[in-house]
Amino acid sequence: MSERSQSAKDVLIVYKSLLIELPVAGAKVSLGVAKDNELEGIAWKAYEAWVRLVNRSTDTLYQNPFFGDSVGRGLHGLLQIQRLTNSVGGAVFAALRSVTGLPAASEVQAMRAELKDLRLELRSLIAALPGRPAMPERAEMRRDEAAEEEFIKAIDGRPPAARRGKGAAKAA
Amino acid sequence: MSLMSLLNELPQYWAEGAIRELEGFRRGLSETYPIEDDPPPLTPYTVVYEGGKVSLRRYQAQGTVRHKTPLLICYALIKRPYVLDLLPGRSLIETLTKKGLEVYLIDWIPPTRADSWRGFDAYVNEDIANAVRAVQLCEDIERISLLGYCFGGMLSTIYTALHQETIKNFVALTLPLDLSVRDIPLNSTMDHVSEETINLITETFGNCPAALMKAGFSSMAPIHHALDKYIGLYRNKENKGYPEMFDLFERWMSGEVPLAGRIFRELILDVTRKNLLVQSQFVVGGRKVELKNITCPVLNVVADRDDVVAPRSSLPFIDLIGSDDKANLVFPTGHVGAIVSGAAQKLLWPQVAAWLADHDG
Repeated sequence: MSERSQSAKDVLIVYKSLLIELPVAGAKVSLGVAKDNELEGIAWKAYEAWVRLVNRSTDTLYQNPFFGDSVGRGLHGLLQIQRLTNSVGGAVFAALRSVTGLPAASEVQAMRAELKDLRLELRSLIAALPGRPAMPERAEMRRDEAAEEEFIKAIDGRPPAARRGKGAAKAA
Repeated sequence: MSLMSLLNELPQYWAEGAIRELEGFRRGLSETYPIEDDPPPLTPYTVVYEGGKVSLRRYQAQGTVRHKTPLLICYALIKRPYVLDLLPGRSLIETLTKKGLEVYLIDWIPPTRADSWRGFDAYVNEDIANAVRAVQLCEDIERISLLGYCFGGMLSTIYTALHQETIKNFVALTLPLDLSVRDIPLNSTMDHVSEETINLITETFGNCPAALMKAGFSSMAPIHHALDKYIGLYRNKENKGYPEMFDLFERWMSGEVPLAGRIFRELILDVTRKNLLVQSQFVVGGRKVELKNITCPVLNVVADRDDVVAPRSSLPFIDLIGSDDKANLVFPTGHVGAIVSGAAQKLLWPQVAAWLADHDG
């Protein structure tokens, strides 16, 4: 199905759900004749169609050259401000540091490097010891693998633009 | 579940999300990235080598069957690698070691500002080369198997093309090769960021900041990151396992690592904009990276639903290399699902392990 027809279908779902199905389901609930979770099911259907519409709109926006130019110019401007702030801040605080006695970033970095070397030395000494301690264990947790799979499908599921209406990637 | 209940819980999810993002921001801005913040490992390992930006982990093969050829995994530079060893039953490391493979993993040490000079030459011809040498010495073997994932796949491809004599088998996983493919809409926006702006990023920060990469990844699916993932969490909060998985993933997703300045510029300007790698015109350390110099057996694993690396970007790989023994393996999964989904652990990685076993002699 092409993107345009999928968008039209989703718009129809949203309007139909909001203007027809939800009011009808609401009336059924008040009359006590609604099916279980009918109202909820319609609301989620409308929400999912809305999310698909917004995703497609975002993709269209990203492909708009004017938007791309704006992002490029905006990023450039922000970086120039950041560079100026870094320079001014560095100059001001360099003077203050000598008054307060706080160490410079380079001094802290040198200390970290020394600590790292000491850590490596300690690690090699521990490795040479017999009966060295085991790796730290993760806390046991009860798991529901089906629920984990649901989560992975939710974050993995959005197909790239080329697949929508242009055919799936094929194995050679 | 009701609308009121949703409206009550959503602000709490947003607040927790904001705290996670700020913690990720803090980690990314730290002069020395705090790798001690990683969750404890699932599969035990020993660090057998550290040098340059490499900390080389060794995971011992399990079971009675043992492959002769060890496997070195080259992960991406821009994320922490604990996603490869996430949970029991969702750990690539666990699956491969249980298939009898001695697995080594390059745990990239995040760069500091002082590392901004590092480009592809340093990472490929020094770091990966030293890691391969360390594996050769540990295993007393001349050639090893190499697996590269995503950006790690790009680095591994370049390494294999330049140092084919050290590689017995090569597995590429979601390899971003042909970067002229514009199937990912955000790529079109990034095309409008000028070369001057790219250089200004590294002039300002030294390296490409983690926050900028985070912004890029989040922008790929803004509605998902701003709202839909929290709605999904709300709808599945009663499913034991979903909230725990969500927390682990969110922790990993907010764990971008800075990218060294020079490799960032080379990646964007040479590899992405000019697409030099796929044309075999990319020069690393004074040598042209010719893909046809890759002559070892190659398995190119492609995720059919990948929305980070378009499948069409990965598929041309086997047509460009010089190997006689090569194949695409297209699997119905996404970019992250290829590593952590149950289907990948049960179906994909046993196939990869079997391919490696067939090419072990």
